[in-house]
Amino acid sequence: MKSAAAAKRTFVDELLDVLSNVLFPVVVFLIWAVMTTIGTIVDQNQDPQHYYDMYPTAVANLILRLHLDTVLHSIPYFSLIVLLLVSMTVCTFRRVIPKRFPKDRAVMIEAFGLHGSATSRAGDATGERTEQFLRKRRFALRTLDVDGTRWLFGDKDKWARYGVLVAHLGFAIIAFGVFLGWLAGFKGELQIFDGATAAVAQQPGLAIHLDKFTATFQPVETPNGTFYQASKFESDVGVVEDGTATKTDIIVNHPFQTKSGVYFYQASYGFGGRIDLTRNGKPVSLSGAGRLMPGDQVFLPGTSREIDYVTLLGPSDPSQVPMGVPLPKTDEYAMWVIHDNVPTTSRPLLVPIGKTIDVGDGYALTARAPIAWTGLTYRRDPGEGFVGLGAAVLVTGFVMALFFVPVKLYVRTRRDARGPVVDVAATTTKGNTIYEGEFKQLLDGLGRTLETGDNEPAQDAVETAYA
Amino acid sequence: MPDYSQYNTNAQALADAHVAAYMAWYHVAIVLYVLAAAVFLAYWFFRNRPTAAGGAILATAGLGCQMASLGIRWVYSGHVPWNDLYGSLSVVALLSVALFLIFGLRYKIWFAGPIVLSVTDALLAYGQGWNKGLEPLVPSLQNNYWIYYHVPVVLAAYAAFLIGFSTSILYLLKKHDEDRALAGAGKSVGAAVAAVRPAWLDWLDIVPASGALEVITYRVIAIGEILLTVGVILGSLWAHDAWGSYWQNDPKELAALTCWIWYAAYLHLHTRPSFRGPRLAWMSIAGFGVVLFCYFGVNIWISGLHSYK
Ligand code: HEM
Repeated sequence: MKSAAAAKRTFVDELLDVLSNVLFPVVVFLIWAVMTTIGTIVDQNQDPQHYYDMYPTAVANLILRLHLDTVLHSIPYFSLIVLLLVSMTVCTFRRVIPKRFPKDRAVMIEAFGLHGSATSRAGDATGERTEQFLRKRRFALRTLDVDGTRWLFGDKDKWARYGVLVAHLGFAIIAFGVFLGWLAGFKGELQIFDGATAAVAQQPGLAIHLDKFTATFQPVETPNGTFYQASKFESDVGVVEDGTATKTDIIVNHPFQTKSGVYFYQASYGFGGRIDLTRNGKPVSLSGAGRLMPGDQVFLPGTSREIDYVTLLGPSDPSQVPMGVPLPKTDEYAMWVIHDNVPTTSRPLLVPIGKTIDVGDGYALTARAPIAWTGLTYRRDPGEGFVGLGAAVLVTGFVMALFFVPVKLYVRTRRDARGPVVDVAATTTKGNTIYEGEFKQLLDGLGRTLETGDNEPAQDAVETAYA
Repeated sequence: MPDYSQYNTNAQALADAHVAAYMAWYHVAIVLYVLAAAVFLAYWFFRNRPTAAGGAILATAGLGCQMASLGIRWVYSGHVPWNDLYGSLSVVALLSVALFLIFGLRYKIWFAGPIVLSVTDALLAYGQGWNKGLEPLVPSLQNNYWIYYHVPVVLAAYAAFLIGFSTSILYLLKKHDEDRALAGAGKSVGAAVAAVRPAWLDWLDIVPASGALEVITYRVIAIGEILLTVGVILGSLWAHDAWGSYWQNDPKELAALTCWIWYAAYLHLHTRPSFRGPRLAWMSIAGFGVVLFCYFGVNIWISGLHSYK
């Protein structure tokens, strides 16, 4: 019974040892890096066909069968972060706190990588001079008598020892914020035409009305001809939340935030084509919203004809004009008239706004002014604040842990035949080499301070210590 | 807003007087950096202060020319010059040389000059091919102030990793040299003769002991990791404004995260004395490969929201 309990404890101990070994996060980090790289290279969450279109069949099969197409949203990926958090927690208590904050105690000075001695001619003033010297070099000091020997403990930048804990905490807060956003947040996209209103499905009582959408374009000349690049999109909207309406402009890089914390961003835009249709002079009503989007088809009832709407070309949306094609002076629609599945012309028809054309079998089509629509992304992320806070904490921790080199000194004063001798040992959180040069200067400086007799003024060795 | 509609071809765009002006300074900078690299190479052999000072002065002059080039481009385009791959490569090169000069003054790493300046020069020479003249900003780069901070901070992180890469290569050479000397010490005459280093490697005398070099690498990578963290955070603030969320799993974000993870692993390995040494140096060298993938691979081969060429 007893040995089983002992074995169990050993297993738990071993597990905790593994989790608190710094090699553990290193291995997890490397796996995380590899999985993230796969997620960078392989488009995520696409249709299987997308991979067959992009890659040779064998590679596409590999991606799909190994689920590399969803690697970033997979349980193993998520588990890596959980593993990091668990190991970080274990490590904090088993390793970081005990090792990062060494206690004030008598130690074997000679066993330290950085150690040395200074012989003193200052007699009884040795202790005081040593303390003065170290204080001038920004060491916070404490004294302790152990078995009749006077010990002095010095700390420089001790606060920076907390850097690791702060950085680890920052990461944990970020992870919590991301998790909260994933659990309780929502997002979506609204396509709203001029004058229309759309409601946010996930939050009853929240709706947005588009008063007017404006897009501004700029011509850019290239070796292959001119293209038109959008220079500004602007949506003048009214946002209604729980009965209260607010008027605002949403432009790229300037989102709008509602009182309840839902953000609206300018994401895309476009123009809907509008046409009137008549047959033998009588109006024919069109099904749908009466707006055509690229790729839409209009079937002409009672015939085997259809109209395939391509796009709007012209000053309202010059970005649709193919490179090298001159920009039409007025807006026009590009469309195909299809008869028995065969286009009736070799090029798309271009129908200027206001013009009527015959599309066969008694049908006539009149182009009406296009209508703009805005694409607004909305999002509510209750974890966002935590992510921001975590990021700030993480950076603070990084600066504390990585920039500063906390040093701890163990100083013992003993007497030998020639008089008092001050033995000094040092440790840092980053090994010995990083402090080697400064430690040597510190010892030299201390030696000079203790060189003069106790009635003579001590040499001020400040400038030489850091020369 | 400048008028961009004046050019009919790219050749014409590049022949424009304003473009010619910033390119001229850019070319002078390339030449000065080549000369600086040559002088620092000479420093390996002469090993005296005037030679190191000569290299530093040439590199500083090159830095001045690059600043002039970027400044002219900024004025004539009416927007920050790091909106495309050409501009950002120029900034990486500028920051790498600046950081090298700072570390040179602080830690006397002038011996790394030939490596740092050759890589910088290669970046600049390659960057010319991406020069498209003066173009307007795409909407996501407009109306925001993040572009002033996010891009330079991330590029400064890359510059730090470049320096870390250079000092890690030198670390491996120095360590090899030290091991050879150690292997010869106290051995037979034959072993000692075999351990004598070839004369052309005598310049390794000006390189500090491998332990000290490892500290320098750690210091510069620590700065790089802090800058990368801050840069990614600034980027996510921008993404929040521009795309509606602080993180989109865009290839560039993911690749930057990979760099961050890689160097976080490096810093953790460094905390344990037993894991320091050549292993860590290789990790820093491979880390720069990850940086190159993030920088070039994602900009050029993988299209996403961040593919500014
Ligand atoms: C994932 C996010 C993490 C971040 C941002 C992070 C950050 C840091 C930083 C900045 C340091 C200081 C490094 C130095 O002084 O050079 C550090 C040290 C350390 N970290 Fe982490 N860390 C993370 C995860 C972990 C995990 C999962 C463990 C689990 C074992 C861990 C264990 C340690 C240990 C043992 C040290 C050294 C402490 C010492 O020297 O006393 N870290 N970490």
